[in-house]
Amino acid sequence: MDWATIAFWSLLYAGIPAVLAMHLQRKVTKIYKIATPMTILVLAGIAGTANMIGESTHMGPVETAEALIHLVIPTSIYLIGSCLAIFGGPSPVGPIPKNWRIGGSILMFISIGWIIVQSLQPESLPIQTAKMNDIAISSLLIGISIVGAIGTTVVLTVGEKRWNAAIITIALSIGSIVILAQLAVEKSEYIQDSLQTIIGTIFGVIFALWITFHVIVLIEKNAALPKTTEPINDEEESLVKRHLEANIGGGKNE
Amino acid sequence: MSKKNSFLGIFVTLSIVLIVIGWIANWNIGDIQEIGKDIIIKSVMAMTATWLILATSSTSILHRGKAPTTQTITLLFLSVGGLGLIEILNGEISRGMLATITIQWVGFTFGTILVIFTVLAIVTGSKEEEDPLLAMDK
Repeated sequence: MDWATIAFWSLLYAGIPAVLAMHLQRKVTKIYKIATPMTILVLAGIAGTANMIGESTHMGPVETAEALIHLVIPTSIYLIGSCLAIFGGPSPVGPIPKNWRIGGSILMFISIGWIIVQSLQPESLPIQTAKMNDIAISSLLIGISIVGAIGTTVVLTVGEKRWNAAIITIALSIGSIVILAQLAVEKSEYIQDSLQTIIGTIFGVIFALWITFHVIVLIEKNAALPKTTEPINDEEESLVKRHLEANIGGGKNE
Repeated sequence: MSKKNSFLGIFVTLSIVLIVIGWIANWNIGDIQEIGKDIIIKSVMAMTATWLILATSSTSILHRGKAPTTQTITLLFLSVGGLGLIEILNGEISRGMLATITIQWVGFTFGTILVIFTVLAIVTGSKEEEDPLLAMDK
């Protein structure tokens, strides 16, 4: 890999979390003060290196961004729809009128339709098909089918049976599997690759978090203890007792 | 249902779905070694990314003393070790490999978000919970 490619991926995976953490500082520290200039630098670096790499026969930043936009379109439509459905529902939790729930449901259906067309006939969409469309859509469908199935199990095991939610999640899961089956007729290698990635990712993330937890415990155990105050003496104890009795027990405070 | 049974239920569901998708994707049992190797490589890539993200996002706690600094440096070393492991297992990390896995992670994340928001939309739409206080009491 050339230096521009290394810089691009490093800025994406290391730069973005770093500047996000800088912005999340609670107090106005030195790090917080440099957060905004650092963000501008990181974003400029990402844009600059992506521009230097440009389009290529190999998959790179431009192709990744293209596929990302193609995933963001149906997902954002779905999220807007679901937010309208959530906040425009019977529970008065937001300033959205109740009747907007139907509009939200319509948006959710439009998004589902978009995902189906993007999976089976992407050339029918009004936007140009992304180079990495098959990779993106197969991973999206695998994600929906796995999380949908797990969601059904969770919904049914939490005690209070929410049959509507269980039916919808299993319908999403089965629907995604059916689309994957259709997609697999011509493009099974993308589904195989996405499936291997999700299995690897599940194991990898769990193992990485487990190692991190033990590393933190080990470091914290060996860290110097902070200076503690002396335990309270008898005089202080009796003073506290007197105050407690006066305030809670109704005794006289002397 | 007990916590143990819930985890068992999730594990069984996950296994069934993975087997079904594997069958749809024409997974060949004869290529199990190759599939296993690919899963291990992807697993190491996920570990590397997790450690790198955790290390770089520790910048917000660096001012709190020696322990956070040690933790950040350790996580950075772990991520570099992960990169080395990928090099050993797979050879050079290609540009296409990083692009592919990034889009796959984004796809899984978006899929998860879609299901979570669907459940939220269904649960909050229940007529029984018209009064949130009554719903909380229930």
